[in-house]
Amino acid sequence: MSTQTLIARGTTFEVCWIVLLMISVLATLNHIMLPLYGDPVALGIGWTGFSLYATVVIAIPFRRREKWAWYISWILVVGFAYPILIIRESYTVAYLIAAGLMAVSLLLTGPAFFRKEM
Amino acid sequence: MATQSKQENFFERSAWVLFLVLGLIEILFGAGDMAVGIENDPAILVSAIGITPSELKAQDLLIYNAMDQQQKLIGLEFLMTGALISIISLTAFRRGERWAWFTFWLIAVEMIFGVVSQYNIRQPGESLAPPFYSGLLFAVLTTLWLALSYRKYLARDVE
Repeated sequence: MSTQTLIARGTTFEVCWIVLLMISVLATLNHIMLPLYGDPVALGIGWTGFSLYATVVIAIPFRRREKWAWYISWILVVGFAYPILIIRESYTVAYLIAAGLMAVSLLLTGPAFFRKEM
Repeated sequence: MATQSKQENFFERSAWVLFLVLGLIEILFGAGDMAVGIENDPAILVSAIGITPSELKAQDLLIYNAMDQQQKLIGLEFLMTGALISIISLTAFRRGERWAWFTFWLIAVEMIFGVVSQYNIRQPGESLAPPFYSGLLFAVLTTLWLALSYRKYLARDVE
């Protein structure tokens, strides 16, 4: 494999990792604010906790290219896409877009986790 | 590895099991809430507003639907958090990685917030909802197990 290809793959991974990290950090900040929007405190606490765990997984083991971190990160995609099925409100569209971005990022980072060792 | 296992105390050896069980319980409860919504645990609603889900449905269908949706979202969050906790406990936490130990302190913090929240939303004269007691139990257990397994995760040679 050429050096250029390896560099391009490394850059793709870095960009996608930053996208995933930014979405999870922004989601954490947004979920902290849920009680201020009038949502129940329990909902805010729960979703903030979930977003924080997801952020840590993306920040540390995902960056280390641990396979389990890649697999479990798909739960973010499911979790962000699911609300549109049960709630008819505009914010669920934003969650769906975030889910789409995360799915693309995960697909693009896949080769970095499953590439055969040279 | 064998020597390391011998040196580990009970809490260091079993901490990952506690968090795995906690994660699995969250998955189960989350799936229940997602499937049945507010009807899954009527005691929560009784504690918060003093009436059962079926009474609320008869009185105000709009509010019932809104609260049902919120409970389903809480269920989704429970399920996903349970999955994350389970997988972290089976991998990084079990291996003794320091970041996982620090991350799991969030569980204790989250439980304490949940307990305080359940206490605050209770209507005067109503009993406390089951999540108050389960949250309190797991807050104590997680704090105890994390505190007493610190040597495994804060040792210099780890990570």
